[in-house]
Amino acid sequence: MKVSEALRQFRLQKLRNDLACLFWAGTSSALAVLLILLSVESIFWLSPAVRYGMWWITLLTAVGVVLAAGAVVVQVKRQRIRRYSLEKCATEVGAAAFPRRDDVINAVQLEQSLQDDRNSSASLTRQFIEQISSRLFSLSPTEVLKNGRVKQLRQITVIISVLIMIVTLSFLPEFMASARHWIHPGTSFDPPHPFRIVNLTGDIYMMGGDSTSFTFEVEGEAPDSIVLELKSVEGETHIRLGSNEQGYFKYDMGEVFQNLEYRALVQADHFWERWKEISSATHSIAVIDRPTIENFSVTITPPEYTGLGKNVQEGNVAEIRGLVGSTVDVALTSDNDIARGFLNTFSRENEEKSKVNLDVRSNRAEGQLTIIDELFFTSHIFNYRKIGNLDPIKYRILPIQDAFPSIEVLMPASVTELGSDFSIPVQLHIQDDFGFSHLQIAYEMERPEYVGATNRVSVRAIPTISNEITSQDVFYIWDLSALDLMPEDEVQFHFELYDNDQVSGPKKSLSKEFTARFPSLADLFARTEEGEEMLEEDLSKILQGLEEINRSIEDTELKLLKAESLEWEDRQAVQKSVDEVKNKLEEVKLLQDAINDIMEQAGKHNLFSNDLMEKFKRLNELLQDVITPEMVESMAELQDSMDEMTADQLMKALKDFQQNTESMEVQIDRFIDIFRRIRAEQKLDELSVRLTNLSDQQEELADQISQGNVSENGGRLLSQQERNSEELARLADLMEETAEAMAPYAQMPSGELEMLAQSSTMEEVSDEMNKSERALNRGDLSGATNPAASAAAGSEILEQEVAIIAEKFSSETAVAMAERFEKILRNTLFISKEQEQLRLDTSDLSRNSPRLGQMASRQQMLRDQLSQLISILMSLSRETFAVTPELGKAIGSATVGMNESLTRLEERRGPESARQQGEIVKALNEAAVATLAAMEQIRQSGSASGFEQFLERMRQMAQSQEGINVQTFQLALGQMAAVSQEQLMQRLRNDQSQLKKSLDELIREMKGSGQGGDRLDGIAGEMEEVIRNFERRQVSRRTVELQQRILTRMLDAQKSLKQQDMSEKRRAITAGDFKHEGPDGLPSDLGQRRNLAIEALNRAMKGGYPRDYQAMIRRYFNSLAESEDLIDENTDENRQ
Amino acid sequence: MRTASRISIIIIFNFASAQIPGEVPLLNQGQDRFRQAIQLERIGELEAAEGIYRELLNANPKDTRVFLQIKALYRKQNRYDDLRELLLNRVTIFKRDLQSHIELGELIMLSDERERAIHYWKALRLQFGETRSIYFMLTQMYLKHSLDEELDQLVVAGRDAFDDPAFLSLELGNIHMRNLDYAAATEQYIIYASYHPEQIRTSSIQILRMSDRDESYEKIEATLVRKMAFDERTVRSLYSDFLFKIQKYPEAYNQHSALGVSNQQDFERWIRFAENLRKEHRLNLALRSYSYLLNQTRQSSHGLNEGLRKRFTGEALYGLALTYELQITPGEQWSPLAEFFPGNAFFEDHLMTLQSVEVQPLEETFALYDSILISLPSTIFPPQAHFRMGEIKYKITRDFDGAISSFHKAATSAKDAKLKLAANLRLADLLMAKGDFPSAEDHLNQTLSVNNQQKERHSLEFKLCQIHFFHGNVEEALQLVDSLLVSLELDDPLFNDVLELKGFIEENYLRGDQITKDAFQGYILAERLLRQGKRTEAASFYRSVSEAYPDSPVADEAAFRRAKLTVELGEYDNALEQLALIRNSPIGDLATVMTGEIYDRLLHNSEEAAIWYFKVLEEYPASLLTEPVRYRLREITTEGELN
Repeated sequence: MKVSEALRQFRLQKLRNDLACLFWAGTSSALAVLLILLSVESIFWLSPAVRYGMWWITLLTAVGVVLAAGAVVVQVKRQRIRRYSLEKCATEVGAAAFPRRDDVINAVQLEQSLQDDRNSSASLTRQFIEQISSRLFSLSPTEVLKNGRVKQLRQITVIISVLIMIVTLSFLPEFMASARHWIHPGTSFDPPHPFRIVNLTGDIYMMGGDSTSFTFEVEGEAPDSIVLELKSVEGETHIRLGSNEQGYFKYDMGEVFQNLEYRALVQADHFWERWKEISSATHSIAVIDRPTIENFSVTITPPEYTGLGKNVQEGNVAEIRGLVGSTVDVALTSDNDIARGFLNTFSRENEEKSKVNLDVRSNRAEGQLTIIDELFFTSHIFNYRKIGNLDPIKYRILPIQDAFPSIEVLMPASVTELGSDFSIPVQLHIQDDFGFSHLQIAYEMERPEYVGATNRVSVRAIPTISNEITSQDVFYIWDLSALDLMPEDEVQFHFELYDNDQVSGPKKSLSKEFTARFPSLADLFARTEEGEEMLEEDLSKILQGLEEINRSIEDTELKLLKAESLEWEDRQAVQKSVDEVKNKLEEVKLLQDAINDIMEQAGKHNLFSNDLMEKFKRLNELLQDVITPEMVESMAELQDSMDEMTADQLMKALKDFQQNTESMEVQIDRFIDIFRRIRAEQKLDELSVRLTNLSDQQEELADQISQGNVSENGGRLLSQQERNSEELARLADLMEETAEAMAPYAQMPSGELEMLAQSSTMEEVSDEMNKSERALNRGDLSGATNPAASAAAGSEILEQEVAIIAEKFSSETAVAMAERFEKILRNTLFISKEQEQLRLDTSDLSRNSPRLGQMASRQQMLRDQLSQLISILMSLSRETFAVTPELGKAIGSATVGMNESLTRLEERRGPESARQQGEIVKALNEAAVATLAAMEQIRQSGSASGFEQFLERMRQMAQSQEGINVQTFQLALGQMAAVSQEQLMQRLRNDQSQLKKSLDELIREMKGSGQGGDRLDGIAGEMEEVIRNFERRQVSRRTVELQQRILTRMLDAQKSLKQQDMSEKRRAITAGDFKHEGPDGLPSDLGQRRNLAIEALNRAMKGGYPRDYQAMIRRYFNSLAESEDLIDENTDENRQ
Repeated sequence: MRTASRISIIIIFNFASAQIPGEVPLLNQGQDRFRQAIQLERIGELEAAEGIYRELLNANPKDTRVFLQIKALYRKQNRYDDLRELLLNRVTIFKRDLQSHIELGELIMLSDERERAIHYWKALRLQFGETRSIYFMLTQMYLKHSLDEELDQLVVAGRDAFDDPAFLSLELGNIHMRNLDYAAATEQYIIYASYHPEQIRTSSIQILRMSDRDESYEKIEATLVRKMAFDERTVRSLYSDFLFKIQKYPEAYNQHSALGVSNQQDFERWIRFAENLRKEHRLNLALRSYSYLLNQTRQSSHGLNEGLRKRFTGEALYGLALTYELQITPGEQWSPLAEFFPGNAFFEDHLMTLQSVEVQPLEETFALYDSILISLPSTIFPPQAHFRMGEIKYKITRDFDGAISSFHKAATSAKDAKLKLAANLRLADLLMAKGDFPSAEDHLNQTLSVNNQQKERHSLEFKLCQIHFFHGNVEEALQLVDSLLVSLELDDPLFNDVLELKGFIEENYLRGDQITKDAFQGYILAERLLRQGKRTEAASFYRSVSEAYPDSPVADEAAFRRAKLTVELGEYDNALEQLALIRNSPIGDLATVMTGEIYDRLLHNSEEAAIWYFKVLEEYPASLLTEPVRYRLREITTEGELN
């Protein structure tokens, strides 16, 4: 009998014991879990998922337990679990049933050792094993291994069961429900709700864009608010709603454009509440779509005459502005195909509606409106279900009226005196928003009453305007010579400007009325003279004032010498002097305007010769030179720091100031001298002009008398004869005056003129005129014929006599002047040669030569001689303008050079001085050349031939150029055979080259004479380019243009020398007379729109550029003004 | 990035340019603000100018141009506070702007804080002491504010600092010179020359300038003598210059002798010295110098190579010959004030009167030129010698054929273009003098045909013009004159002569009638005779012109020329009578001056001369001769008083 076998019973017992314990423990746990589950469910109303999950967990746990139990059994059998091993059992049994607790275990071990043959005393061992084994068999496993815990556990289980019973009974309904829930884990059970939300609206069907509302009612304990849940494809929206007074929960949905689901709900406030939310049933809103306008655009097309482009405006701007006559194209696209559509138009006043059908294509529709008055319109479209778009936008069309054109007359002034050329320079600034159609002068001629002619209105179109340019300056010379005006005739005129409005018809603006008068020659001369006398008087006053100032400064200087400081009164006196000089300077500036007026007057009426005009121009320049920077500086110095100056400084400043005022005095003196000389010449000019005029008029009168009819023209002829007689008498006086004015400059011609005034010819002419007058008075035309003709012949003789005297005067004075220049030339060359000799002598000297001092003395001598020459030149410059700035500059350089040379000599730097002297020689030679040119000029102008020759040559060259231009133009047209072209090109090249040569020659002659040779250089350059084009066989449009420009410049050069050109500078003076008489409502910012460009233009025009440059400048600024207008327009459009 | 911005700028510029028509002036668009400010300043608008300067300086604080302008403006207005602020800003930006630093010190000085200013400047010297500029600038400042003591300290410090004993010596010398401290100045100049031998010329010039004052002689000389031991060669050189300048020629010669001859530089110095003596007409000393040089070249080589030895020998011989040449005709003691076309090469009378010729020097001269031809055949000197001999034969001995031969040799052998040209021109003169105008014309045309040098061609054309003129072809002469005036530069020596001639021909021929033209031809004939040395005949022609054509414009000129010839012939009374006839003519001033000069220089009647001179001053105040007459009058009046 084996111990181990005996022990197996015990082991089994032990296993039973453990299983019993496990059972009871498991039971009580299961009951507890059951109780918990029931309780939880009854409280929380777990979701099916939870419950279901619990089920699963329980099942899995059970399976796990079974598997674990199987595994434990196997392990037990294999004795892998120590608790159930034989040794453990042996130990426990030994402890429980044997006196020595280790007997059993020992027996087990011995038995094992027997099996291994390791025990040497097997018998003893077996005996012992037998003993133990039998003992073990005798024992009851149940007894030995008592299971006390089972009882305990059973009691616990019972207790728990009792408790569960009690609880279950207490909450039986809940537990019942809970048990049902657990039994049906997949079923959802609604917990009991405190209230119910009822949707009173239900499902909704509506048109897209319509609005709707929902109403909910709560049954039961109503919460204070509920949540409205709107669910669309895009997501959910929650809106909290409060109840109204009736206890309903309402919500206005507004426009709905898409399908929605909605419900109302209330969510539990606490997590333990059985319900998470109480919700109404979910309902839906089904939207039926309306057509909508997705894109809306308006294209405004202004009338064609405006030249404006189309303007596209998007539909988001409800105000559409456009010029009257513009078309408004409406284009829209819808989200649906459109079946039909129309624009509903109505006015503000009567709201009367009219429809404009739209052209429909697929989902697009188009329609057109014309802007005439203010208008509103809405767009309506319908889909094929005849459903229309909702709430169309109301668009407003605002018509913009085409503004009246505006006309600003910058020239002429209100009253214009016509000159000998019978032309009125017109400068207008015209503006319109879209251009012009016509500009004209409406005029009416008014003759004196005795003529008896009827007045009638005529118009003259001004062709030079551009119809497109909206703001332009119009320059136009209105030639009235065709009107056959007589002295005292008047022309009343105004300007009429039409815009290019083709919709409402061209609108017209009128300027104010202007008058042009044709004055008599005597009046004109008298007026000019009056101006000159005033000028001379003013100058004398200025001179007098300056003398007084100088005296005052001298007094102050004396005081300063004595006192070494100035009293307050003295300082005040100095201050006063400075102020007075300032005033004088201002007065001098004003005098320049006076000269300008004289020149303008004389130029306009061709009162003076070209030469005289040139002299007046130079006089004005001379007046400008009176105000020197040094003078200004010395005044500023005295004024600014008189108080801070020491006595010496003050003395120096006073001296400077005095010097400057003295120099101003000298300048003014010079001016007066030259002015007097010019006035003498002017008088002679006047005499000549008026005599010529008288002679012509008398001749014409004689003709008219010989052919005339007493009844028609008797009164007028008599009046003319009277006027001629009167003029002759005045001319006799003028001859005396002129002779007197000429006397200081040329004795002989002066005497001759005086004699002529008292000559028998004068008397005869006067007698014949009287005879004619008497005969006309009697109405005896035939009796007047002979005396009138004799008077005409006598007048012509007088005219010739005066012309001879004028010629003599001119040549005599010119010869005298030329001789003086000759002397200057000699002197200049004398100094130049002396200087050259000195240079030779100096360059050869060593630094230690005692003769260097002598050289310095010689240089000093030359400097003194040059000073002497300068003073001669200065005095000469008081009499003539021929002392040119070039001459002055050269002499100035020589003076500076001499000073430098002297310094070098003093520093014993002979070679350096010699180099400097070379420069002096150069400057002196330059001065000599300038003097020679001045002489030439005097001789030419003296004989009046040189200048005329120049003009004649220029005229001939211009003619040649014109010929070349015509042929080149033909060439450029390309209508000739190749061979002919080649030949013509060759010929034109030669002609152009020849012309250039002639021009070069002329330029060379003109250089230095100060008569505009420089301005011809530009023409030569352009000719050069034309010749190059011919050489390269590239005759293009550019070549033609170049040639045209050459011609223009030639004519211009001719004109600018011949006649005082229409000076923009002078015109600008009359701009102040402008008074606008445009229609009401014209833009008030008219001045601003003329803008900076126009002002800059005015400045540029005053810059003294030749006429073709002026034209270019004008074009340039016009284009600038144009671009600015465009900008303005764009801005307006943007505003729309 | 930079390239992109550059391209943008170019595009913008092009675009902007395209907006403006090329030929339209820019209407002051490009008006430089700076220039505008300067203009404003000039016309006294100082505030406006300052505003612009400020604006510009704010935009670019480193703009020195604006800085200087505004600085000057503040200085002018004595606005020291603004100036101080400006300078402080400047030195903040340019830390080493010494001038501004120093000017800041000056502002302290101007605010009456002398000591502080001195201290400030000293501090500056210490701060920027490594540069010499600070010393120069401070010197100016100390000088300006009369800080003599500080100036001395500065000089000492500078010399120590740069280990340069001559530092600031030139500046100090100039300062002493300005203060009329001649001795101190001379001493400083000596120091400067001694330590900067290459700059000895500068020192010499300064000493010579000082010696313009008579009272300085003694002190300068004493100092030079005293400092002789300091640097003998330098001091002797300076001393010799000084002595030469104060016309102590023998003493100057002694100094040169003391310096001796030992190398090439010494030879060159002697050549220059001898030449200067000759130029000053110290002919004996010049001869001595040249002889001394010749001896030296013969005695020893002095380290010279053969080429140099020959050169110096040639120069000495040539110089010697020129000196003898000067001895042949004693130079005029006075230059006449009243001249006919003075200095005009066209009317230059080359021939000298034979009465005053010295025979011995003439022989010596020829001998010397011969010796050059013999001893230095392959050098540059023989053509020169030929030319000089030609000149003597033409001008003095009037051996026209001999002269032609010499000039011909000179023209053919000369390598120097100038000499060749001069010889050719002289050949034309000689042919004219012989009355052979066609040959003269041929000769010039031939020379012109082989000459491409513009300048030389001008001289030849000028001579050709002269030939045409004196030959009576006035129109051709005028054509040449016009063509020359177009091609000649303004500073060409011939320009004024040609211009004068043009005026003369136009006035007396071109603008006149036939009578005037005849008179002018007569005048030309007289001039031609003068060229041939036929003075009496010329005078006779002048007379016939003035008497036969009294109303012609050239009559007065002819009378004047005749009077001049009459003077040359020694007929003073006749001359005076002739001059009296033209005193009321346009050349009355010339006639009156010449009358005075006859009394003054030839008849030695100062009182009468003074009367005539006074007459010039009174009656012809506009004449250019008044100034020289006034000088002369003062001279004779003073002489009279002294006597």
